[in-house]
Amino acid sequence: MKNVLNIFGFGWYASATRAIRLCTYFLCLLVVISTMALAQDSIPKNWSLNGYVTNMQSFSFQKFNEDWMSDNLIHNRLNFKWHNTANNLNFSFELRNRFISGESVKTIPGYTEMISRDDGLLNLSKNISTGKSYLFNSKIDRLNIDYTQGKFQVTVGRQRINWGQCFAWNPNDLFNSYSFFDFDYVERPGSDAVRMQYYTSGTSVVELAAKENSRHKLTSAALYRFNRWGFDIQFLGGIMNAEDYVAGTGWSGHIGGASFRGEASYFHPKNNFKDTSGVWAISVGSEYVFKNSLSLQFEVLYNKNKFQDVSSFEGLYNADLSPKNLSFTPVSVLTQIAYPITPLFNASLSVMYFPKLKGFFVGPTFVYSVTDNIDFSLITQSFAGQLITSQTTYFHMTFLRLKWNF
Amino acid sequence: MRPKIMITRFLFLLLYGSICVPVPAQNLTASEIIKKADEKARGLSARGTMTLSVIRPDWTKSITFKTWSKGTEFSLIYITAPAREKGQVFLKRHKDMWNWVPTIERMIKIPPSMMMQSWMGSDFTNDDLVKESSLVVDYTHKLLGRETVRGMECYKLELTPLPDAAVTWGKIITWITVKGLDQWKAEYFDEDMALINSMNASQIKRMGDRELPTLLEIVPANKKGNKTVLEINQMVFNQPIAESFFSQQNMKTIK
Repeated sequence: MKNVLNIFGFGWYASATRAIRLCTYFLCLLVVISTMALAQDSIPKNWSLNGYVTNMQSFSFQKFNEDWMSDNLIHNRLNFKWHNTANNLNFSFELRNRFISGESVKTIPGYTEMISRDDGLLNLSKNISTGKSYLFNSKIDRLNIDYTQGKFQVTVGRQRINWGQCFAWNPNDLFNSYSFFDFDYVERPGSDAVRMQYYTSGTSVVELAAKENSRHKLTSAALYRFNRWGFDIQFLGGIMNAEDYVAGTGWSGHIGGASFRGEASYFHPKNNFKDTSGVWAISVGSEYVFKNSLSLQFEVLYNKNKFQDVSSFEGLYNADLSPKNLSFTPVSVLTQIAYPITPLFNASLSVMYFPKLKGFFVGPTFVYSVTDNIDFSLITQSFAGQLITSQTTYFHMTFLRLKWNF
Repeated sequence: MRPKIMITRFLFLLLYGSICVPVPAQNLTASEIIKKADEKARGLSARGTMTLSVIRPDWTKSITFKTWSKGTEFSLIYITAPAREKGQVFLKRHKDMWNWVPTIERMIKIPPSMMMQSWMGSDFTNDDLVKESSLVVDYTHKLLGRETVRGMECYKLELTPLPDAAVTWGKIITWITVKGLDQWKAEYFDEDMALINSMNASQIKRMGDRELPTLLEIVPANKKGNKTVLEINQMVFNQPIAESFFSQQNMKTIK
């Protein structure tokens, strides 16, 4: 039928039906979400559904007067949870749907593949529809079942295992590295893993976890965390990506009124153990909140790894993070100041310094709470530094985001 | 970027606990009145739901939560609304505090300085209410007499901080009902004896084994139209809660 229509000059028909299909999908999704959100009370008590819908417009450029890249993202997150109290069972199913349109899809080679990529053992990401200028992706990032028996808990499936203690850089977070710049995805991709936790007291836990990634590389590790002298202290050890032995420690507590947190991990290649040297990743940070709610934060990372020669900040921005490779320079320094200008209007400014690049990052953020569940944010991220030549290059991004939580 | 830490400021509520056991009216000393009011306000344990609203001339912001407490040492708070904050949990065990953030599946240890700020710009700081809990210990108490406030006969007391006490206020005048030993009204003054905040309690209702005021309004002296309201929706006292309830494991599973 489509071919026949094309012959008669009805090429637009395919595009139109695709557009209609997409619109219908979104409309249905919105109806389902709103109905379910409004009907929360009528959902049986052992089910819950929540999430958010955002619309984010972004612009990026190297020089203000030259080419801009402009993109729009409609992003919907759905978190379904089910629990059975009698059997101590919990089931989680969470996914994100993203409709991306604009110049990134159009001009960046391999962009659609990058968006649909799933690093897990299972491929649970699908580009439902793509066009020259748009992309609609759906990705399941939590799909797990959790069983508790007394102090013992086991979770099987796609899940987030977060062992971090610091704010921006987490050498202890072996399972899901977190990029400070990726503010729009705090949940992070899950790991396809088995995790066992045994709570040795109200404030201590022993954990064993193992995951396999899409390249069938195994990461498995054990952690012991306890509370002593007012500090949460943890020790961990294991194998990362079947390549490195890892041993680490982390802590979180306070000195005076200020928090004091740190993480250190040492990675040593498994092969040729004796002939190779390892890599350290160490982060230490502190935060102090003044009586007027002004908060000051400081963190430093030492991570002398093979320096990534990247020719652009876009490349750095999209580069894969691993706990072994957390930043683009051996030393990185972060300071952040945050202040609620009014209870509904929060402002913060993050500044990072990368000595080796003679470079820096500046990221002011403004969040206005329109209603209890709707936020409007203005976020900008600017990078500057000497990447491959001694000439300083720049990269700027601006995001305008409207977010509705339900 | 880190999820909203704002709510942490809210932990003071952990320390607020409950409000008072009926005591026969007798000739109590000033210190006995404060102590009994404080004990009634706390119970041995308490469990319930509350709503805190910050009211400003052009907007209102509310948060609803479930709370469990055992004495002053153990508390747990689970936020139920708004959707943005729902599922966040706060645990206090002795002097340690943690915040479980379900979206990032992370346990965050809260530094004491975070307790010093006001929550959501409300009219009292965490610290104020922390100090509130030490009205018994950190102040000298003087009975000024009796006064009728909004139809209730009250003891009027003056509280002056002990010389070496680390407290926020220069002086507190408080009115405690003779009949129920409920804190019914309070005025908070700074070190220059200027009035900063007024608190008015109202709407006495039965909550479990006791009757107590279920609405507390804090009004700042020099900010017109500003108000913070704490409403107790439901509360039961002295039901046994095991110490093991206040655990990191429970933070992750409580609903």
